[in-house]
Amino acid sequence: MNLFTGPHSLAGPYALDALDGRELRRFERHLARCAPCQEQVRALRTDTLRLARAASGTAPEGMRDRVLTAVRTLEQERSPQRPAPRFTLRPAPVAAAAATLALIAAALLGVQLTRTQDRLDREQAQARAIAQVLAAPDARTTGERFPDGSAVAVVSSPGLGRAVVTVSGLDAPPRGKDHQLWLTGAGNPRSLGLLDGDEPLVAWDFRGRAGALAVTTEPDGGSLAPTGRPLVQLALKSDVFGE
Amino acid sequence: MGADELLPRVAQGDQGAFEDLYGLVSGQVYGLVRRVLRDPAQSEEVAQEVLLELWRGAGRFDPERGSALAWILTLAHRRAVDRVRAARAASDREERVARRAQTPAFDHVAEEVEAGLEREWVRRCLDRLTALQRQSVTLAYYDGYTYREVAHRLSVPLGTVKTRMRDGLMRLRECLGGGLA
Ligand SMILES: [Zn+2]
Repeated sequence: MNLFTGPHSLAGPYALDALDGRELRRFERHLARCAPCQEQVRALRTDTLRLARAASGTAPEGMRDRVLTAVRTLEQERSPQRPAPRFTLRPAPVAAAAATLALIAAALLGVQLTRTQDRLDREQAQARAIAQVLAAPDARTTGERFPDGSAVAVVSSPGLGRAVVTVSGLDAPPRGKDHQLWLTGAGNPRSLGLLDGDEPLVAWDFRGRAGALAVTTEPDGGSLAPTGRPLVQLALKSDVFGE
Repeated sequence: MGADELLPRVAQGDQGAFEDLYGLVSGQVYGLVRRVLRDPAQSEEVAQEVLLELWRGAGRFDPERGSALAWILTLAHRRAVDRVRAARAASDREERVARRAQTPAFDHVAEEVEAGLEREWVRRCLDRLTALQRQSVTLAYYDGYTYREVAHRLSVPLGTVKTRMRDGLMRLRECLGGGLA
């Protein structure tokens, strides 16, 4: 075996992630059936691990909350065997910070980011409003997935007084009825609008203190005050409103 | 509990274990991604992507094939490299290359990165490689260049770069042998 030419010679570049495209795929096929290369790569990987650890840093403050919040509603892959559908980030339609939040929002919403972004591209006015909230420097996220499979996700900007709310996993309302979203807290519940499937809803006047979001089934076109029992409810801490 | 014990629990959907794992590895993930990408906003984005992928795909970790930390940092490095290559392909490649060529590879984010003992060891050992070994290794690992790009940038044959990467890493291992595990 000659380690300096032919497919065996690529163990070094491979261990450094310095192969790409067809060459990477070809070497991985070779690696799968070449014991000496497997041994080489395993040894070289312990070296690159040292390089990795030497680059250790401090993660930014806000990242922890965003990741842990997202994890509360983000489903895990079912089959450990099958490779994951990759979380591909396409070039963001808005600012880079917004892309980060879009990712978190997508995770919260349980939708592929690309779908969110396609939607952002397609539906202009709604998209701008959503993008604006996602891009707000004070944007924050909260959400929860419930045992029945429904989920509520919120990205809010106290500065803008707006929020993007997505409710997913609810059965469609009966014919002649609508799902209506409410903000409860001090005073009477306030309507935030009618839900259209799991489309994100922009709540334009999202202000208050601690409270809750609730969805009820209401007669076609909605009600002035909730008449049905809540189908889902999400408690909101005051920090959602920037307090 | 270490990453090797935590990751299988995460695979079972244990959010508390994920929180502990986050505490253990987020700095390492972010630091490595930042090292490759440089840009803080992009680094945060990719690091988050990696951490969420850990949650989603923890079940893919196979302890037979190495440590959890190795698995995690390999994932982080690949995502960072994918991103830097995509960005490079999209942007003004020449200007970027010229700008980077003037800066020594190890000093970019020095002030931002915690100066640990491990870091010192690695730096010292990198200094003991030949210039060609060191550049081949760091341009690939810390700058995300493919070995073909490295060969082009250093104006050396492909075969030379392949072997310098390999023997550079092996020499690093000899030097680090007495250091931290
Ligand atoms: Zn081989």
